[in-house]
Amino acid sequence: MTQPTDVETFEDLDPDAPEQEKVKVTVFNEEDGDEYHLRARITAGLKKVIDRLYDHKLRRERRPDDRLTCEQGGEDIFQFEDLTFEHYLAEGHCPKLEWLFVGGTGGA
Amino acid sequence: MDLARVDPDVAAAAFAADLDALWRTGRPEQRRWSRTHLDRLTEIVHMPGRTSDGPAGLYHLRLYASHYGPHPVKVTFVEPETWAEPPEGSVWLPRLEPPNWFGLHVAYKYPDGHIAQLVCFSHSLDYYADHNPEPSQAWQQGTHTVAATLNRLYEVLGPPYHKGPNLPQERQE
Repeated sequence: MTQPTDVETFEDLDPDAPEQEKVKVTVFNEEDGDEYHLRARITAGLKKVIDRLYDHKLRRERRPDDRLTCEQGGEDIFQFEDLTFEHYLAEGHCPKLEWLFVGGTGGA
Repeated sequence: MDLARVDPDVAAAAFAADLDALWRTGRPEQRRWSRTHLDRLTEIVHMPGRTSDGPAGLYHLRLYASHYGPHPVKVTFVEPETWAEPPEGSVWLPRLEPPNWFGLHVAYKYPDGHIAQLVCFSHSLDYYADHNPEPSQAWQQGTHTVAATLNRLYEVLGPPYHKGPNLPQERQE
């Protein structure tokens, strides 16, 4: 997997913040294979990135059967949305900040 | 539910474009998937299984795109080389403890009376023969592509849902 290194490929949610204070989040949309790249200040809450994901990438409301998980290990992201990235990473969650988005699925 | 077929030229073009776009992301390669092209509406995707103990088995998924775009592809677990539906207990079928949104029925009786495999989830065409999902779970053109179908299958063919092939595959190859 080739990750973009050029800051221009990441949508910057905190353009005024110093570069060294930013984190990069990659979201893989498992519905259509798209990838979204977002940057935010490390003191921002995860919710800021999640809200941007819905408002500007997925362009829809969040639904109860949506899943947003860490690519490595599958941990749910939504449960941590009130944490800042600083706390989230300090607690050892999803260090690569690569997330998977999956919408509702029916079956069985 | 009787779903309308799509003009084969239109379905084939959309299917090829979406498969190619998915492959260009590099993720199928990262996940060790590969493809065999059969015809413009039919592709085999080879997908390794994983369990909590590591790699376990290789599955062959036939994707048939006769209704693709407005509807998902038809998905079938098939045997290698013949691409035929395997019988119950075949090594080419996974042992699953699936999530509540997925089922695999080897001999499903469809509403028209025919019996065939049903890969039962809302990103598989045959599911709609006998099911009506919640709107939030239904296939939606413009939101879903064949990536959704394959990514859900990848999830199910991994831990904690996949328990391995029915028997070690090398014993029946």
